[in-house]
Parts: sequence; structure tokens; C-alpha cells
Amino acid sequence: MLNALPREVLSGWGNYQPVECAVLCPANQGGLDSAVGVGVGVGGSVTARGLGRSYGDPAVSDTGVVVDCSGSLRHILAFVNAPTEPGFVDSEPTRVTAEAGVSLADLVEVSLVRGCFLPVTPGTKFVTLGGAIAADVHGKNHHAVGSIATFVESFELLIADGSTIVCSRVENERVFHATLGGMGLTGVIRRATLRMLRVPSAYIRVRHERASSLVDAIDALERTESETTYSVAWIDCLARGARMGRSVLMLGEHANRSELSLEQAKQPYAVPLKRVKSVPSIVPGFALNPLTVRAFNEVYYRTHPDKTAITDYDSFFYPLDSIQHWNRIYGKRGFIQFQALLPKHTAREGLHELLTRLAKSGMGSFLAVLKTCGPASEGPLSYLYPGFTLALDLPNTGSRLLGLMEECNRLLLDYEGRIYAAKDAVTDAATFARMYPRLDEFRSVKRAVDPDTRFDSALARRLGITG
Amino acid sequence: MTRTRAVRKKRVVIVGSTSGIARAVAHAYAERGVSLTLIARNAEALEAQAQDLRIRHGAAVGTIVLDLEDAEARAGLVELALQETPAQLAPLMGVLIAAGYMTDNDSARSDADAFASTVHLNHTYLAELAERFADGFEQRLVEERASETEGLGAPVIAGIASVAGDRGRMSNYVYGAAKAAFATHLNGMRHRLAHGAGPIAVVTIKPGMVDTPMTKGLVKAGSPLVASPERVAKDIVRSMEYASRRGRGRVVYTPFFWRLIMLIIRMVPEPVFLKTKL
Repeated sequence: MLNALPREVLSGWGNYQPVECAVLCPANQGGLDSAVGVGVGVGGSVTARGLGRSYGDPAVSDTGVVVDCSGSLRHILAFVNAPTEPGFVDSEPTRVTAEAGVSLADLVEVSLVRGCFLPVTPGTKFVTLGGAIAADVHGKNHHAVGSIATFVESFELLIADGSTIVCSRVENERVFHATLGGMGLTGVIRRATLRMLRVPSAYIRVRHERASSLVDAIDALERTESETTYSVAWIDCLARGARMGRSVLMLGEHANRSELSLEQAKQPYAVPLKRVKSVPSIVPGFALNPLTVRAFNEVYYRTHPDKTAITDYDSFFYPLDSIQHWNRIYGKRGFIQFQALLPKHTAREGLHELLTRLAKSGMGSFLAVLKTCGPASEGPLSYLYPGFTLALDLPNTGSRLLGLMEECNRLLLDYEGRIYAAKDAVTDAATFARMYPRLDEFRSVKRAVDPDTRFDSALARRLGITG
Repeated sequence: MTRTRAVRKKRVVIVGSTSGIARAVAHAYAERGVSLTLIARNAEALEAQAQDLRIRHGAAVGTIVLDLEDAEARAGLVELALQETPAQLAPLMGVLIAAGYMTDNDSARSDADAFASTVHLNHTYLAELAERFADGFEQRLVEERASETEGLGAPVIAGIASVAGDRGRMSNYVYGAAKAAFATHLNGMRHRLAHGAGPIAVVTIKPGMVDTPMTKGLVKAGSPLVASPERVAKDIVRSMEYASRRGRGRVVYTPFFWRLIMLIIRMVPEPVFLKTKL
């Protein structure tokens, strides 16, 4: 019966180990009910999928039905109390309600013309609202405001018995928190309401500050934390010795109109369209090797002296979104992203150890970032808590990569750190359980709304969250 | 919140507005500042679509819930759609009949209900609506409410047929036959109206393979032969505007290369065609 459904080879953004999945693409909310019903009936389980931007395997499954929510379930249903609209009340929050398949790109577009922006945004705008909630995404302002959970007011969740429940901080709050960071395992989000941020313009004032070593970078990130809205450091993962961990800090603030050029100030919320470039599908796997990456890093570090500039939101938050299919630069075998979180008290030593190991492997890519983290959200599987997080891409080199990841995960355990499920593709169940001490709490919420494990995924099985 | 204002406010009706192609057409029109009256069966999905267009484009959008199977509702629809109400202030410039129904060929030929749905929802009900809209537009012309519609161009009746109607083939002929009948009907209407009281343009649209929820698993997304709904919508809007300016419609293949592909497929001699498994 499963074979009668349309099949498609799917993977995460990392193109790491694609899986042939049975896929349904509901045309409307009623179709979502049927799709989940079919999934439960014939496939045994359902995996919700959005735009496929998580790196590993949370949105694929070879045993059940994958329900693609990004095709049609992306209506924006309400935009309430926008600053540009008559009757705007400053003391009241601005809210947007949308179907979960809407992309953050679409939300940005309708928000900016109304003087608003996403209160938290990951490094790509091509994720869905539902996916952002399921991964409890964070952005460059995590140290100040926490993850997107802070701004999610409520959502409707289609659960295993076929009913739809409203979840918020006052209604079904355990399910609410478990769903934030729950990787889609509590049910399928139909619609969600998000509190938006009012901004003076679509531009960001960015200060670049170089740090010559890891210690410098950590110090600078901590020093600037309290007075900076957005902060992140690009870090050179291949530099060794005294220069290990050398970084370029990027510190951003929403730019006021008075800081804009005359041209920009005329339309402070409109950013000129950029040409989108695309990576062809035939990039050989060896295009990125230690030599090319090392050269890139050298050039990048040298061409980013300390300076302040005004840049548009797109270049600041989503530098890679202007290159379509950039994941193809890793070739056919794909890549994974390793994101490590270390608590404040072990971060300095732990990061030093991790970077030493990664630099020695020579596998680190030019896409590595270091960032400070703020308050944890309440979800039992939510990722970040106060500390430091390091993220970098690693090409799939088979057993070499797996060996490196095993070592890195062991280091993480030694330093009380953890990986991020939305990025991970290789961690095993035992390791994950030690990294997420509240896993049992999540399981008990899941048992309550999904006793027969109707919502499942390759990731959930691999990490032992289900089964 | 309106970004673009058309010189003259006008309105387009979309029947079957929640289908994949129609959704993209609605976006394209709303983006151009054209008002819309959306017609679909599922009230919840329809309202979601209308809200979405209002928020994204600042468009004026009205809705009419309609089950095409309901003969009485079909009969009353044109009057409702032509009316100018607070929600549909702008005069009607055209209608796009985009409803459709597809199931696999084996059910469509063997199951009586599936057969009837395939025939009615791809041909008879749609042709009936096209005729009623033509009558409505003709009546408006006769009553010479010219001041209302001045500068609008000729009213347009566009219907979505399919390249599947150009030659019956084993994998999809029940659907193809219904679409062929609808296309032929539209072509005949165009001929009739060319001799009518005034210009009314009829456009027969034949999309090739399009990546929509209806065709999930039937077409291979990413193949160069498979078009996005947005691409097809662009062609539809352009051909409707062109037909309105010119006062006469035509047969439009979208993307354009399907005209050539179908020409070749129609020319394949029957003995050869029967050997294929298309």
C-alpha cells in the first residue's frame, strides 16, 4: 500500500544519505488531515516536512509517509497591529498568524512593508514557520532574547488521534513546550501565531572586529554581549597554533533612519533586489579541499578589517541565501553540519579542544561560526542554554568523518556540551540521551499525545527519541 | 499597503481558485493591483487564500463558496460574480475557469462516480459556466453600461484545458477526453462570439506538465519539461490581458514549447503510437 503512494528521494540540506520516501503533498488543511490519516493507516507513521533545510534526517523516513507542508499550506492569515496601519497601538504587540508551511522569507516580506521584522531568525530565510518552531531555531540575538520560542504565542497542533489542539503557555502548555524543539514528533503544526519585532528600517549597522585567537574571540563576544543586539563571529577552523580560532566578529544593530543614505532613507523598509546566483548540479566533490578553504579563510580574514557599515538585512542575516543550492558545493556525497554547544564554565577549554581536533583533521569548511547563547527556552528538547555554540560544515568523507564526529561528541560529553538535532546526522542514541537529560520528560509528553508513535522520523529512530 | 495600482481598477473572477495553477494566477493578478473574486468549494481554504492575498498584496478580494455539483448554485453564480458589492467594487474584466479533477485512469474508467466527476468537473460544468459568463458579458454589452467598463478592454473568458486533450493515450484518456471536450467547447464559443454583439475574448489554455499538488507523483519536479505554477500563471495572465486588449482570444500552450511537442505527438502515425506506452 505504501508503494502505491508517490515516492521521492529526499534528504536534508546536507544531501547526506538520501532516503526514498513515500510523499504526500496536501493541497489544504483538510488534505493535511487525510494525509496524516493515510500515513497512520498505511504507513504506520508520519513525518512532517517543510522546506528541507535541516541538515540531517528529521524530515525523512523510509518506513512511513512524509507529509510535505511547504507546497500549499502557506497562507498568511492575519497581521495584527502593524505600525503602518490605522489604529496601531504602540503598547500592544504586533502579531502574525500563518499556516505552518509559510517560509520565513514570505513573513519577512509582508513584515518589512509594515515596519516589522522577525524577532528571531536563523541564518537562512528559506525555512518554514513550522520547521522553525519544531527546531526551536535561534539567531544572532540569542544571547539577548533567547530562541524563537520566546515569541511563539500559540499554535494549532494536529495530533495522533486526528484531533487538533491549541497549544500556548496557558493551554496544553506541556505539549506547547515539548513541540518547541520537538523536531515534529508531537504532531503536525497547522497554524501558528508569532509576535513580531518593530524595526526602524530594513538595514543593519554592522561593526566588524577582528580577533586574533580563540581566547580573543571569546572575550570579545562576552564583552560586547550586553550592549549588542546581534553578534556572531566567523571563525577560521583551519588556523592552527597561535592563530587558532582567529575570528571576525560581526556586531549588528537595527539602523535608525538617520543613519541611512538619502537613497535608502526614501524607502527605509525596501531593499533593492539582489541577483540570485545558483550553483550548478555538477560541482565535483573535490572542489572544496583544505587548500582552497585555507586560501579562502586567509583572504576572508585579511579583507575584513575593523570597520562599521550600514548593510541591508538580507546581506546581514542571510548571506548564503543569495546563492541558490549552495549545498551543491560539497558534491554528490553531501556534508553534515556539526553544531556544538558548551556551557559557560567549560566553554573556553572545551572549544580549545574541539578546535584543535577539527583543525588537525583539516576538514573544517569556510562556514564556521561562534556565538554566545542566552537563556534556555523551556522545551525539554530545546537546544541552547547560556554558553557558546560553534557550528561548522564538514564534507562527507565517509568513515573519516564518522571517526571525527565520534571524537567530537566524546569531547562534548566530557565538557557537558551537546549537539543540535536540526543539524545533526550522525549522533547515536546513547550519546544523545546523555546530552539531553530531559529526554524522558519529552517522551512522557509524547506518550500522552502520541501513544502509538504515529509521528516518527529517521532522526527520531536514530537518536532513540522514539522506538 | 498597495504597492502597484492598475491605471483603471478592474476585477477578475477565478473559478476553482484554490487549485495549484489558479493560486499562482491569483497571486500574479493581486500583485498587479487587480481585484479578485475567488470561487471554490472549500470555505476554509478559500478564506485562507483570500486573507493571504490581502495581506501579501493589499488586494481587494471577495469570495464565493460554490460546489460545482450544485446546479442551482451554478445557475446563480454569474449574477453574483458580475454584481458590484463592497467586496467586489471594480467592474469585471474577465473570468478564469480553473477548476479541474484528476484521478488515476483506471478508477476514472471503471468507477462510475469517478468517471462522472472526471467528465463533469473537467468539461460539462465548466462549459456551462463559460456559456453563462458569456451571456452575462453580452447582456452587459447590450445594456451598454459602457461608462462602467470603459478602458477595461474586452471581457475575457479563459478556461484551463490540457495538453492531455490533444491525443488520447492509455495512461490518462478519460481526463484527456474531458479536457479535449472543454477545449473544443471554448474554441467553438470563440468562433460564435466573434460574430456576436461586441468583443468578448475566449482563451483556451493548455498547460503542459505542471508541478502542483494535483499532479504530485505524476510529474517529476525538477525535470525541464515540468513547469512551476508561477511560470504557467505568468503566461495565463499575459494571454488574458492580451486577449482583452485585442478583443479576441486564442489557444495558448504554456509553456509555449508544448505546442510543438503536441504537434509532433499528434502526427505520430497510429500504428507507431500504439506501440508506445505513453
